[in-house]
Amino acid sequence: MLRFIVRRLLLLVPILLGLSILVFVFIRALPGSPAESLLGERATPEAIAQVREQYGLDDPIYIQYAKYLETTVAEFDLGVSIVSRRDVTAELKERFPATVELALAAMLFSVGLGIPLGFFAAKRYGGIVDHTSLVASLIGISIPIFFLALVLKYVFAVRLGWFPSVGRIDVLIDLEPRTNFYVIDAIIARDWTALRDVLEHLVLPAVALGSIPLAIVARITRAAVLDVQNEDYVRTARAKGLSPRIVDSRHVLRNALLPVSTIIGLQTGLLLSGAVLTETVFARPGMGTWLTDAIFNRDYPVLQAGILFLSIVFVLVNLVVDISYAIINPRIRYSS
Amino acid sequence: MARRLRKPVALLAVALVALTAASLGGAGHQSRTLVFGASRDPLILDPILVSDGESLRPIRQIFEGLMTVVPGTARVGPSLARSFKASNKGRTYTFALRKGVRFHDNTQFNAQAVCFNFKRWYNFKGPFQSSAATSYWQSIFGGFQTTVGNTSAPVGQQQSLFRSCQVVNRYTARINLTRPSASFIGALSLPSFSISSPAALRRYEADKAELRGGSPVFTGSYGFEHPTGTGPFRFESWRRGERLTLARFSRYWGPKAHLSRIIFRPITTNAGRLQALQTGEVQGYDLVDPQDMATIRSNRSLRLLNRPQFNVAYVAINQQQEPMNRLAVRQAVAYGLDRQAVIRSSIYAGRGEVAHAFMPPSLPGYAKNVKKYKYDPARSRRLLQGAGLRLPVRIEFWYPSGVQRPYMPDPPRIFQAFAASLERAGFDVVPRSAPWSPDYLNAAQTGKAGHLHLLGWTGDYADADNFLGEFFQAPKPQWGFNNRAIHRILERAEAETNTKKRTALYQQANRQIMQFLPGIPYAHTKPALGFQTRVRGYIASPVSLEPFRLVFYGGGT
Amino acid sequence: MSVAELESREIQLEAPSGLGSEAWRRLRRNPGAIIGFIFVLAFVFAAVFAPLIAPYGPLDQAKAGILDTQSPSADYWFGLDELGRDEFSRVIYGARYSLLIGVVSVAVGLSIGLLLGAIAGYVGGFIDSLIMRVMDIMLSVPGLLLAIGIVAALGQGLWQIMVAVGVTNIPIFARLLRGSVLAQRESDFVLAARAVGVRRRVILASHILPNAISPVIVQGTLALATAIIDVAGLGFLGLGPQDPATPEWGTMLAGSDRYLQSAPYLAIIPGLAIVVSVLGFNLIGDGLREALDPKLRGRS
Repeated sequence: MLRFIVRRLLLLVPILLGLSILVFVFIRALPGSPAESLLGERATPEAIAQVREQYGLDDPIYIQYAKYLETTVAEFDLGVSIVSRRDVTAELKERFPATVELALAAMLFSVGLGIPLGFFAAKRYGGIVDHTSLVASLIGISIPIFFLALVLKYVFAVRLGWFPSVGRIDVLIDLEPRTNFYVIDAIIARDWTALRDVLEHLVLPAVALGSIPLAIVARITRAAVLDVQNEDYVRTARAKGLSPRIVDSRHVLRNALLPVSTIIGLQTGLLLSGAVLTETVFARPGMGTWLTDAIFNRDYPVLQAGILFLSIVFVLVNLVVDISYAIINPRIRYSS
Repeated sequence: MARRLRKPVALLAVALVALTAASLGGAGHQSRTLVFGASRDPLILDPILVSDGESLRPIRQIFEGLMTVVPGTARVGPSLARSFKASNKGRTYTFALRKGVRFHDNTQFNAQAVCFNFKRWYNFKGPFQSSAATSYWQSIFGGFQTTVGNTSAPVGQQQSLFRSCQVVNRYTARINLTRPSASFIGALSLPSFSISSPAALRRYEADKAELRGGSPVFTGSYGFEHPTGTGPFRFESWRRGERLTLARFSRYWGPKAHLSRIIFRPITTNAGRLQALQTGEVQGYDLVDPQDMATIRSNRSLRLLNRPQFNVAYVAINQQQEPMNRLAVRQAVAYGLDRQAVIRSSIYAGRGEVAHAFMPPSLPGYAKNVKKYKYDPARSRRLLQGAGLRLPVRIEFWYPSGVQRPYMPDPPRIFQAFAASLERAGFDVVPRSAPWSPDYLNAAQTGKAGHLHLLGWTGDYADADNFLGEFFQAPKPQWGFNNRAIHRILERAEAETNTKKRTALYQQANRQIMQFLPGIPYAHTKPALGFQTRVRGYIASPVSLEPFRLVFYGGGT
Repeated sequence: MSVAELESREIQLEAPSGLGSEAWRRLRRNPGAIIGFIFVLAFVFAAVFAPLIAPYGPLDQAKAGILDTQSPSADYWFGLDELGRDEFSRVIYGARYSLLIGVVSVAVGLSIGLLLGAIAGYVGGFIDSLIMRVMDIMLSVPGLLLAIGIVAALGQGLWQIMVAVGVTNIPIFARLLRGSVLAQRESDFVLAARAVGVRRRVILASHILPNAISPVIVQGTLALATAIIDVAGLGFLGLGPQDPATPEWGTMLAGSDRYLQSAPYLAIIPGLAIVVSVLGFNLIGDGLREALDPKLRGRS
């Protein structure tokens, strides 16, 4: 077990190194330069030439990469955003919690609703509940996330006025951002109005972002429950005369949740992709909008740090999921 | 522990299922605060370092310059300078300064502060000489005292218009120029030339910057956390992507602001800003989409505010691209653009008029008797055939994506309408597009945006030089031509201090330009802002920079 | 792209079985799959016969000189778009683009992914680790961000979008095929073939690939669905085709964001078109998987 964890952690090193090279080279292959994005309508060719020259693009790319690696690893300096001219680390500290908060809320929504849905679908296998939930889940994964977000926003925020339409918090509320997880910040400050407001801001984006995972979780739960139901130990438990409720909760559901837990890890990537679109629609200042803007503005330091960071998170989440899976399920052995 | 975790979960579930969340609609909880929907964050709040509208809007509230644009007009009027006198044939300007003005850090505004700021700008070094940092200074004043390092661009090398600043006495400052300039006073109304507190500039290291990876990176905290001017609002806090908060300055020299706070809230999409206005999450936003105007009008708690027209939208022609160097082909483009149809359509929703010149009709120097080009596709085809070209003539036509400008509310739609009309006129249009910033602007300015591209300009102050001079005073890759006659007449006009002669020169230039057809102007527009009805006192400005000092909440809620 | 990725894991767990008559039989009895087929058939039909079905050209102004929206009516079933073009005709023609984009981008991902996967699985050793690590790296970047980056690097355009979405599919197919190859490399018939001296390349082409084909078909169908959604997402972020007149559903939907209040049908109609076609592919993919999945056999 320990060997497996160590091995997986060591594997991170080449992946991150490779990724950093890939991102570095790739970013420099983008046409245009960051300076040009600052000039706007008043750009003159002379101005652009001047800024380009300042960019020190004369260095061969491997030297640029070596320099970059040196500052990042040795000084732990992620650089300064070219557009906002602030420390990338500072921006990351603001942006990342926003996305995590959204992703967790979406996960909560999808798991909280998906597991019961999948479970009941399996229980009523072939029945109307089953068919409806299957079709609904398929429709769920067939709707473009931004389309759903736009519709939700228009109906529930603009028409009905039940939820706010933009941002993470009402700007009239002053909440000291200590952790930048606003939910936590509100709890620390014991500001229940703020907490309620922050949660209200989370509802629509979380539903939009959680729609696809919801469909997937429901389907996988259903499939897993169907599988487990025919296992010997479940039959034995039933034969022993245990009440169906106890069989369901002790044996069926618990074992069926194993495959569901792996899926949660895999959804990290999906949620981060979806966050780009959801954050755009709801104007939430998170990683998604941050990185999309950075791509348009050729904000090299932000791109480099942001993409690497997300990848590390993604890889780590999957590692944690794999490890916990191994712990929960001793049948799986990891050979080295 | 479990209990604590369960609470937010339960709350979320309640919110989800019961959907009983409090309605946000309409009423302001703190009615003295105005939330304004911006399209994005400012870049930095050091006036001299920016030229973009989203940075200049809050800067206009925090800072003041010697001159200002009179609210609701493009006319230049006094601000921190009560009056000025020109002497030495327009090479020397003496300013009588307002007394009893304080900066937000409670230091005094005086002639020394004025000269400190001018000297700061003139003595900028290294990263600050990048035109990414000081584009307005460079476009108005040219160069710096010394050019340092490798910032050896031609822009910075021209002799600066600025020579020196003298403190005549405590409240009199004199600025000497190296040559006469008639547009100097107008330029001083640009918010970029606002006066900062010398103490704060020093204290918060406004001049600290370095070149990192070659781009200017400002490492001082002045422009991010401590912008300090004399304006009616002072900087309070700034949380990126969420809010920039300004608070009323209680020791403002003039009539104090009605609002206690302004919050600028970035919302990227126009549809998002409209919706936030409808839900009451913002109380106003700029550049209402023409198709949304009916929505706002039909809502009694919302209203539209019109901004006087002070811009021009044009189709630029790049003469470096064959066969655009031929006049007949350019004329064919002019006759082949159905400008009337575009202006009449809901793209402009009755807020535009067809442009016949590269400057707005309201400015002195505008000429009515220029050559006009009415949509005539048959004539275009004849012109092209007469030039010995085989129809259809293939041309690349660029338009920007992901942007709307006051003069160009919906670029893809304008492009499609024009492309269709050009195809009827004997052209084969190849569409090309790029994100507005930086790709599109870069392509346009470096002459890489095909045969034709869409662009435009909003004036900064009431001076023909700010339009015609900006476009055609010197050869530019964007247009790809070198027409001595046109360049010369605009140079002469800029230096001419006699108003009558100056006007005549610009009129002549307009006529020559529309004969030569470096591009085809197509629209002057009246952009609109959307507000909640109870917001009063917002005086829309043609130059797009409104003072929030005058804004207040009217009766009702 | 991530949905496909998830599904690929699911499929991988299962031993492939041929698309035999048994599977067909089960597929035909699956009402979802039948509906999916109907949707997709309608979609393909619209794409192929667009000029016959659509009353107007996709770029034509229905009424000369009118550059404005008009609500749906008896004359114009889906109304006129913001430039006075018949929305019904544009949606019909749009099927062509969506089909093209889906097929090409999946083809890009599929061909490169399969090639890499086959090499990795069959050659093994250092080449295998190298390829799979590169695939890991690609998978560790959120798909949409990767696609945005590729479009930013290649420039905007229809082909660039297809390549971008295709590239994000590469690791999914590579993993899938590698898994199949590994599973079968040691199977009896491959060992037998090797024993009688059949060349490696021939074994790969004649024994291993045909047996890996059914999960690839399932995966391909699902990838088609996600490709259409991803392209729409790129369009929404302003990275659609160069020509804004292109009647591609994602582009139409992206532009309609601004008309959500003044002409909501302009958003709803292309949105529904996307949902219906994507749902069609998903239903078929789902049905196929169930038909091919030995675990579900004999349950219905």
